[in-house]
Amino acid sequence: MLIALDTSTTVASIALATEDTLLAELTWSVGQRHGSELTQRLDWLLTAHGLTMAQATGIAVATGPGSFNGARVAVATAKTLAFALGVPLYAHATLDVIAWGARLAPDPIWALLDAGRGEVYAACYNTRYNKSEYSSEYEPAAAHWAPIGGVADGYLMLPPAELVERVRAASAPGRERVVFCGEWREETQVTLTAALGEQARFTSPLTTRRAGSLAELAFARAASSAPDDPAAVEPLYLRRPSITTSTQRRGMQPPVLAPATQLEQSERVDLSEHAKQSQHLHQPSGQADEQSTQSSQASHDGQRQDTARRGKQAPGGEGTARALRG
Amino acid sequence: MRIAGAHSLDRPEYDTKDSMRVLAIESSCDETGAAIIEDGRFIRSNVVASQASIHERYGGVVPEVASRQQVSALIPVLESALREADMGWQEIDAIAATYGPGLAGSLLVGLAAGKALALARGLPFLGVNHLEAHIYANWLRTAPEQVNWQVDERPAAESAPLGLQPQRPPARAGTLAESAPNYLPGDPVFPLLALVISGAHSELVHIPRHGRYELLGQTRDDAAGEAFDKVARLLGLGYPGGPAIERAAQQRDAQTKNPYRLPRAWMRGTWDFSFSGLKTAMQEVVSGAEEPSDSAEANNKPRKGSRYRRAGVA
Ligand SMILES: [Zn+2]
Repeated sequence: MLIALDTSTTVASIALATEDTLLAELTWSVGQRHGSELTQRLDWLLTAHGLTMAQATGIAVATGPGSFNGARVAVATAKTLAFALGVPLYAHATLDVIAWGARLAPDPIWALLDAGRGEVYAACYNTRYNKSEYSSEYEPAAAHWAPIGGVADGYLMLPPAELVERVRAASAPGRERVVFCGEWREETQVTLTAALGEQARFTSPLTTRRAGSLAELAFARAASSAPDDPAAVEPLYLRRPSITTSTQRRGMQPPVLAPATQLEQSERVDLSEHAKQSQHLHQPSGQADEQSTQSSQASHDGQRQDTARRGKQAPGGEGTARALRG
Repeated sequence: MRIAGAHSLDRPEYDTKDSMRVLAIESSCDETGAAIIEDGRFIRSNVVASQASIHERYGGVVPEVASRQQVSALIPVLESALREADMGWQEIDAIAATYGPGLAGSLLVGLAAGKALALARGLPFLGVNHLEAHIYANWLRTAPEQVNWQVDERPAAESAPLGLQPQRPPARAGTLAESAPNYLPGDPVFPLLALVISGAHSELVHIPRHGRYELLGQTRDDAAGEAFDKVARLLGLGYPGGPAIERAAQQRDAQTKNPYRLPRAWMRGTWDFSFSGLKTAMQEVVSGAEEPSDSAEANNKPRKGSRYRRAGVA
């Protein structure tokens, strides 16, 4: 039995499956309660269907992008389960899971998730299903399911207006439709509809992603390639952390975002300036993050999306349409 | 020879066969810790992955960076804790994790891991209050075979195993702790006063007995550790501030009278502290608003640090 876990957004999903049977699946509106609900509902789902942890032969997890905390809960839970049970772990990007669930739509398929701050996470998948010369060799293979641009360049974070440009560029002449699936804000859909008109089709919010799709991808992976290393699997964040220091103390005002400008690492000289800035600090550069990471943790640096299999990397640049590699 | 201690009475060699072992996870801030504790007292392993070198660059803990590091450090730390204790899952009886207070994103990681371990191995899960854990760390000792056992001088009848003599009277009147089944010589004895000082906390707690806490006083603004961090940054001494200021203070010449005058953190007439006034005073010292007459003092970081350290801890 494979246990598939996904708490990447306000929608969560758990699937218990063998290769040919979906034993149980639970998809629910989790809100921000990822941490308190995931293991609790997994326990309930197992018990309700007369299953036990001891029957688990593998763990699959959706790594994001999405809610940072949500993805962390699923990844921390999944890697710990795999470690404690001694079973293989399969990590898949949440956008892959969304698109795989919609793979029978005419291509291209755009998987979207809201990224906050007026941006979306997006990835485009080519299903080849609407090719006139359809043949079974065009059938999308779960084992190699990846966005156009691959895992290194295929996961984007950009404003909807820029997404429109990408969509236009990716659509071959004569293509009539673009299917958007996933979760987004109303404003995003308004922007896309205004720009693309009838060309844009949207899946319903009730056709959300399911952990069953994640399980399918994981089974395909299990048959074709090595599992992921539980120590190395990381959430796929895409967005770099905003540099605000801790407001650990109770009753403190919420953190203030750092100015967008990048300051030098040696910027410790002007003490009075620092005093004025209080606890709000400078934006790091990606390279510096890499360099001063402790050697003992070097292979687990949070700045690197170092899933063993795919070598996903964190975004590097400051541009809006980011090719997501670091 | 008789050895004091619940599980070791009449046993020259500590027998761990019936021991209870808890695998405990701590992820409340920027460090990832896992430890295996035996019988609530003995540290069989204790592994901490520190992010200090990462947060040093920001002069403080960046919550999102800390949370990401928690996920990265998780499995290596758990693995090391088991390896260091030379134990497998079958030797672990329960899982514990800090539930707070702390940084939400960091706490989530340790809690998720703890609950997953408990579910995977069919073990009970115990959520632990971060501050209570700080207080109870005072009862922890290194593994029993490393303990410097004290010979119990009392007559045999009095120090017989507790199971045979549950009504053993306390060695001294009023010291309930000494009659507790797992009392060891040198343990803190109730009633206790605990001062919890960290990057996020400054609390003075009265503890009349196990599990009872009365908050006597706390900081009215910054936590002590936070204040040390800020002043260390002012002085350009590095992060974390406490050790940095300590090191700098030790370099000062003890013979020379320190020319700086700083307010004390303790608020007279209360049990509360305030570190913001001290921080402001330190800013004035650093910016030169309060400069000693001797200009050679202007850049004397050790001296400033020393004065600050004393004002902060006094
Ligand atoms: Zn602490």
